[in-house]
Amino acid sequence: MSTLPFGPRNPPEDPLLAKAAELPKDVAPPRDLWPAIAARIAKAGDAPAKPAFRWPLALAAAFLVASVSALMTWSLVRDPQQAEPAVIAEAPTAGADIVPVRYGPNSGVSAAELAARDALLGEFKSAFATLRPETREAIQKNLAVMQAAADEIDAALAKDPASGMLQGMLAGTYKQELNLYSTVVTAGDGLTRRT
Amino acid sequence: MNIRNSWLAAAILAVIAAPAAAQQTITKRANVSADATIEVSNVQGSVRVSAWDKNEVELVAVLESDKDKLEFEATARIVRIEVDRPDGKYGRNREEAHLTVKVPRGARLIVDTVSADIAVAEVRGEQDLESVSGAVGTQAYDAPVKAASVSGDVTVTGTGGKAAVKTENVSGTATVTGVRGSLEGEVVSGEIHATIAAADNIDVSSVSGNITVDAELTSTASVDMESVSGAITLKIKPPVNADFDIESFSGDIDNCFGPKARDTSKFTPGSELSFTQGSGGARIELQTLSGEINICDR
Repeated sequence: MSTLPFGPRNPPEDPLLAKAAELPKDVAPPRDLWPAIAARIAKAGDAPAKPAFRWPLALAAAFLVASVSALMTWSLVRDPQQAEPAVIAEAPTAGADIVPVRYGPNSGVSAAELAARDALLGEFKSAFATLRPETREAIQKNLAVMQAAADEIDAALAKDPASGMLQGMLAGTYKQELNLYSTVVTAGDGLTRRT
Repeated sequence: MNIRNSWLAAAILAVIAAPAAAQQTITKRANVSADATIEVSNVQGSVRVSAWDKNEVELVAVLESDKDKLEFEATARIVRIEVDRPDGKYGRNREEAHLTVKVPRGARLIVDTVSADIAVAEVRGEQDLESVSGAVGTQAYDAPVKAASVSGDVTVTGTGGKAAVKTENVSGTATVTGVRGSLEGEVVSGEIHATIAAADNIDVSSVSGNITVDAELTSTASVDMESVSGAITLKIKPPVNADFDIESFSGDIDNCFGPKARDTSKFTPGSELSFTQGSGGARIELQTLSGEINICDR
């Protein structure tokens, strides 16, 4: 599985990291807690024996820890002051990873067709960067599938350049690539896309 | 329950309740014509549409984010429902919007989502459903249905009417069952599985995904199936009266009708098979580059 690099190249330029750097390195408790803890430990030694392990309490505590963690994550992600720089920083890098299908010398795809594709590709890259990571991964895998198909067809065309079947398949692969870009670009546009 | 446990329970409840505090539930209604166009757009979450016997649209929207805005514009002919995410971002933001919509049975439906599932039931008008990563599921009656998803699955279930169904997937699987009439399907690495009755037109293609079609053909049916490297399997309900034209550049061609494929050239690995079964009539054309082709009537 490939990993998408994202985030700023130069951390000090990232406003989120800059704000994080301003946070205090440690936080002193409002009062000295140790005397009370020591007293309770000493008192516990005198107390009658309790069950070794209470599962319901342990589960509740685990749930609480997980919930608090989830809540903190949720709060950070939800806060636009925190979330926006992360998404903006990710966008250009994620889109830059996109490599369009390369059609070989036997394919016959014209320069005009490639120029039309590349015009759409620019818009696609912007929209692609905003998709969920798993969707981006699926799209990249399928672009690789289309690349493999284009290579396979090109190699076959080298052996049989006049094959209408192969030329049709190549046109079909090109159309699938354009459809993919178009679907992502127009996603969420609603009625305006169709009228 | 002692004091410590009470605090623990309170803390758990507080954690659970915190996200719910930001949630919005909005209900909207509008009177519309029986064949009104209903357009729904959502980024993340779900869209569920069902039909009822009223000339009215009812929307119940549950927005997990208090930043999302709901747009609801209605005339007698068109209703437009859209969840507007002000910063236009999605993906990292996991807050979802769930839309439940009731529409007149004969409504024309257009649904467009990014990461939201689409589920439609009993809508008899034309449908155009599209998602990037959500699953899409609907029923086909007599009107055309287009269902598309990039990475989600698409499911179209027929109800006995004669419909024109079109599916588009990239990596998801398209499953079409019980549909009468016609099917157009495109997929890249996902698969197409279809059962078509009284088929007069089947046109399906894939890049690397497998295609499997069970079909009952009309006497003038036209069937085109094409894949680069995926396997094609066509099972035709007997009696079979069709003209076959099958070609593969390097894949195997198998059939249970008898004729054997022949090489297309001494210099390429291609093979082809053309024959007429029964009295002919239906036209069947199957092509692959390296995928296997298998046709049979059982």
